[in-house]
Amino acid sequence: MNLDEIKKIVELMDEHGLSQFKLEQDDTKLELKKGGYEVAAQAVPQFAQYAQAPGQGAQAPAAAPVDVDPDALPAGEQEITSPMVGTFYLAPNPESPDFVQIGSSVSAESPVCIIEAMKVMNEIQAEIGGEITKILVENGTAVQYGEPLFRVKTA
Amino acid sequence: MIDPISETVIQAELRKLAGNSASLGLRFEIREETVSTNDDATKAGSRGELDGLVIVADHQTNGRGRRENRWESPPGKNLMFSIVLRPTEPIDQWTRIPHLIGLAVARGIESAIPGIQEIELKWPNDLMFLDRKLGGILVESRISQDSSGSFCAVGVGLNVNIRPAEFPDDVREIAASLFEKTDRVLSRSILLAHILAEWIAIYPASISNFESAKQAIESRSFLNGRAVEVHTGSEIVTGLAKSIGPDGELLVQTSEKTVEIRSAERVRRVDSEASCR
Repeated sequence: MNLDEIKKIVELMDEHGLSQFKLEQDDTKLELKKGGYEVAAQAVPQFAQYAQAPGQGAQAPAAAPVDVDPDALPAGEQEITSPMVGTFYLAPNPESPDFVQIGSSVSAESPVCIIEAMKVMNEIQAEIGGEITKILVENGTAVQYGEPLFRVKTA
Repeated sequence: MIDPISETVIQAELRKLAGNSASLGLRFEIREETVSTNDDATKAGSRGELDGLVIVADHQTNGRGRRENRWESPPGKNLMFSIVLRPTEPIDQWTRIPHLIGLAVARGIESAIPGIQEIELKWPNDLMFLDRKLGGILVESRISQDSSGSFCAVGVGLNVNIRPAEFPDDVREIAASLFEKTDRVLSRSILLAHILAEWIAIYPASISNFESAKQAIESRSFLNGRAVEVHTGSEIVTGLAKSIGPDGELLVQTSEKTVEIRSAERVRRVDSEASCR
C-alpha cells in the first residue's frame, strides 16, 4: 500500500464521516482512527510517515469538530483499545471485583480487563497512565480488534 | 500407594523420550502444595521468568477451570502443572495453544499408558475419556504493548489416580480418571515427561503452522459430527459441529449457515445425555 492510497482512504473517511477504518491485507495492517484532535496510527510504517507529514493527518483537528460529535475523544484523553477479537470481562472471574471503575487511577502496567478468546484468558494492561473516565464496552460482550474499551484522562 | 512427584524421575524419563531438559529449554519447580499452578506461573512470568518453566504441584487447593469452574484435587492423586510460555507469534495465534496442549496431553497419556487410546478433545479446553471429563486446560496470558513482556501460563489439570468414589458427588457422573481403566497407581512424573515430550514435538512447529496439527486435533474431537448446543452468553447456537477453524474457532453448521464460535459459556452435545457437560 502506498501513500497515495492511504491519502485516498483518509479522503473517503472525511467524505463519508467515518471515524475509524481498518484494513488487513496480506502483510499489511492499517488502522486509521479519527477523534476530535488526533488521528492515531498503529503498526504500519507507511501511515506513520503520513501521520508526520506537515499539514495532514496526525494533528488535523478540523475534520471532526467536538461539538458535533458526542463520541469524539476529549482533549487530554486517550483510549485503551482491544488487541484482539474476543469477549470482554471487567473482572478476572465472577467472584472478584472489577479491575477498574470510572475514576480508578491506572499506570501502564495496571490490568484493566480480560479479553477471552477460545478460553484463552488474556489480561490486558492499560499501557497508559491516568484516570479511567469511561468504560465503553459492557461486561461479557464481544469486542473486535482495535475497538476502544476505556477512556483514560492522561493530562 | 503414594506417588510423589519427582523431578529426578521426570528428567530421566524426558531424557529417554526427547533429550536433556536443559537443552529442551525446560526447567522445573515442584511444589507440595499450592493454591493454583497457573497463579504461580503467572507470577513467575510477571517477574520475568523465561519461557519453559514448568510448575508442578502435588496438591492444589484452589485450581481453576475457565472462569468460575473449580478444579477439585485431593493430595497426591492428580497431575497439575503449568508452563510459562513466551510465544513470539502474534497474539491472535495464541488461541491455538489450548488445542495444541490438548493434543500433547492426549498423545502423552496414550504414549505413557499402554491400552489407553481413547482420549478426546472437547472444544475448547476439556479432555474427555470414556465420554466423561478427564481434565481441563486453562491458558491465561498477560498482554503488554511491549511484546517482550507478554507471556502466558498454560495450565493442565488431569485426573490420574483418583478413584471414582473420591470424586465429589456433583461431578461423579461426569468426571473420569485414568485409574478407572488401569486399576493401578500411575506415576504422575512419568506421565508428565511423556506429555512434555509430545508438547516439545508439537508446539514449536504448529503454533505458526496450525494446519499441520489441525487434522490430528480434529481426529480426536469429542464434538465434530455431533449435534451441539452452544451457549455464547448472548445466544444459544444449535447445529452440527463441523470442524475447527484456522485459529481454533468452533464451526457449527446451523439450519441456515455456518457459525464461527470464538467464545462460549457452555458447549454440550445434545445427542447423548451422558456426555452433555
